[in-house]
Amino acid sequence: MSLQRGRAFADDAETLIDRSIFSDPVLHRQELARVFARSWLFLAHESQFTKPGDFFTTYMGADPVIVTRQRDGSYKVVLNSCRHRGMRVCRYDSGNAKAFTCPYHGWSYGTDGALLSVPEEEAAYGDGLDHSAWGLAAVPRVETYKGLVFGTWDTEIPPLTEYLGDFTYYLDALVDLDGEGTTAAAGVHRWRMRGNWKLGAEQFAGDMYHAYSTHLSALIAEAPHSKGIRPPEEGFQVGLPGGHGLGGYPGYPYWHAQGFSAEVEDWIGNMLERAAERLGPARTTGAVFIHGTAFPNLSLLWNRWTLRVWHPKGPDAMEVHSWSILPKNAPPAVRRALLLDYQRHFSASGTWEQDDAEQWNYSTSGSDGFVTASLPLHYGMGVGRGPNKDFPEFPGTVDTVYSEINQRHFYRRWSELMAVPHPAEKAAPETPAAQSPTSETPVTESAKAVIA
Amino acid sequence: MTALLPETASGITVERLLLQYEVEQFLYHEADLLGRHDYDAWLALFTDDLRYYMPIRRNHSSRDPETVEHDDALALIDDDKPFLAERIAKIATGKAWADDPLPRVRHLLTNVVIGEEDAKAGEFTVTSYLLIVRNRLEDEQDSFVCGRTDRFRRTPDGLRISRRRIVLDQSVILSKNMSVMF
Ligand code: FES
Ligand SMILES: [Fe+2]
Repeated sequence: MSLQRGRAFADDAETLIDRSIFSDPVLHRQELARVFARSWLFLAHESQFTKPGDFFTTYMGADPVIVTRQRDGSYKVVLNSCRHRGMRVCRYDSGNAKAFTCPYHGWSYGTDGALLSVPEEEAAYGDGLDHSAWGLAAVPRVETYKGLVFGTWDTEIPPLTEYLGDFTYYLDALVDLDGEGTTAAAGVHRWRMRGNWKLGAEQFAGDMYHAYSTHLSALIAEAPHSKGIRPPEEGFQVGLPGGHGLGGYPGYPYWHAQGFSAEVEDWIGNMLERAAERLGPARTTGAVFIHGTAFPNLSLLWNRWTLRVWHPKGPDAMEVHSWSILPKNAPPAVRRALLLDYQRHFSASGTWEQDDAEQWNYSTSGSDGFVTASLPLHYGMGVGRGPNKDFPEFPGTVDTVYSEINQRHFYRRWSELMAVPHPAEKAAPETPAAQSPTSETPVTESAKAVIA
Repeated sequence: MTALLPETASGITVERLLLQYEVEQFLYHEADLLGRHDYDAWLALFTDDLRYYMPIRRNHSSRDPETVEHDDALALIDDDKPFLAERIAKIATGKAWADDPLPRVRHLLTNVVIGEEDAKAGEFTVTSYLLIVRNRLEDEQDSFVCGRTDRFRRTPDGLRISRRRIVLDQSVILSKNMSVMF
């Protein structure tokens, strides 16, 4: 089996995955450029910012960035790396700032990235330092969708809503259910695990199949308060163009199985009824969306009111950032109950989360061996099966609940992007250009865009 | 009411030494139960109205608080006794893949200090430092360094803990899970 570099599939039928994509360091460097620098990446929830200068630090791929609310209410996202020696100019998780002053030599940048001042500038540089050319690299495009802030380095990518496409039909069933929107609970859960980031992203995109095996212990332990309420036998997976995917079940009163008080259960039930009047029953009372991924690395759990990002940390590790996104005008008791339900099951200490991390750890590490790595993995579930006609209103390609259609969509999109080198890639470490001190490094158009 | 924490001018009495000894032995016993994965016996050391809480610690400027603790804020752990029992029931299934095979865990305990008395509640606080080392499978090795503030209550069954606040010395959790008990 020979790998065509940059293609996830090991066969023409696109049912086998070459597992080097989970461990190869060269492919990893390439995907930072070809996938992450070419996609819309989730950054933050708008409710994390209340006033100008409020900032939040995160990552786009492996690049550290600072998201800041501007005076006009818009968001500016800049690379968290000083243009002088590359020092991280902001080392706080969040806060409020008028400027970011580099601790190393003191270059100071506005929250929009503009270089404001340089210590001893006259003595150090005379008039030789062009401030306009040495600001923090600004992410060229930042857009929001119903409270969710995204950024991309790609100047030619379609607008965010077009990029998300029909995923918004489903996303609205989390962030726009009752028309009052969501706010994030304070704080972000962040933790690192061994395992390639794609294993998390693809599982959330399309893997209902793992639930009863991976999460068996949690299911047994919570059986006493789940009142025998279980999902119906037949559910769905929906694969969408652009590599997005999600899965769930026809409507069932899942919120009665989570040990909530009657007050909380009533509120959720009533809210879904109101949502059904606004959005129609198909994606409210008629369906329970469970898991989903917006390509490449934003994942959601609708029934747990949470979303998360899988940040790559090298080919064999990831860092999860996870939020609790709650209905804005829900009573405090409801927000509290939903927050705890998410936290106890899907944070780093969560009883469901723990067992996923175990799978990703040892799925990735298995790819290290020569013979192991040469054996492709089976992604053929549901191939050749006709569409699932039970959900006629759902946009996308609908299959039954146990299907790998979404994983195949995900890796088709990944392969498309990986097939085209990024113009700025020649600067990547695996191909160090031999340079004499006088040679000029060519700067590509897109690299210029990045540092403009 | 007899004082829970006997006082003298020097602050040291035989009663106080005995209490220090009793508290330390309690905590050593607890650590031993956890090392042996005897979670049922461990859970019995807590009162039924337990709150078992671990806030998120942030990297923050000196102007901002280190932790954000209110009902609408995330925490690393915020459990009551029934949910701790659920965690234990999960491990006991033998199907908890993160804990199967079980890790080798040791709770190293130090800096045990008896603090304030809340005579009205019949409780007193105890702070301690804790280093948990978890080794598992071939090469997994995690450590969790934390400080704990426990509220001890004397019950007819003996000393019990009614509130445990754990402050873990990590902002990004550097382990793939937090299935250990603190
Ligand atoms: S590295 Fe930032 S001022 Fe020198
Ligand atoms: Fe899972």
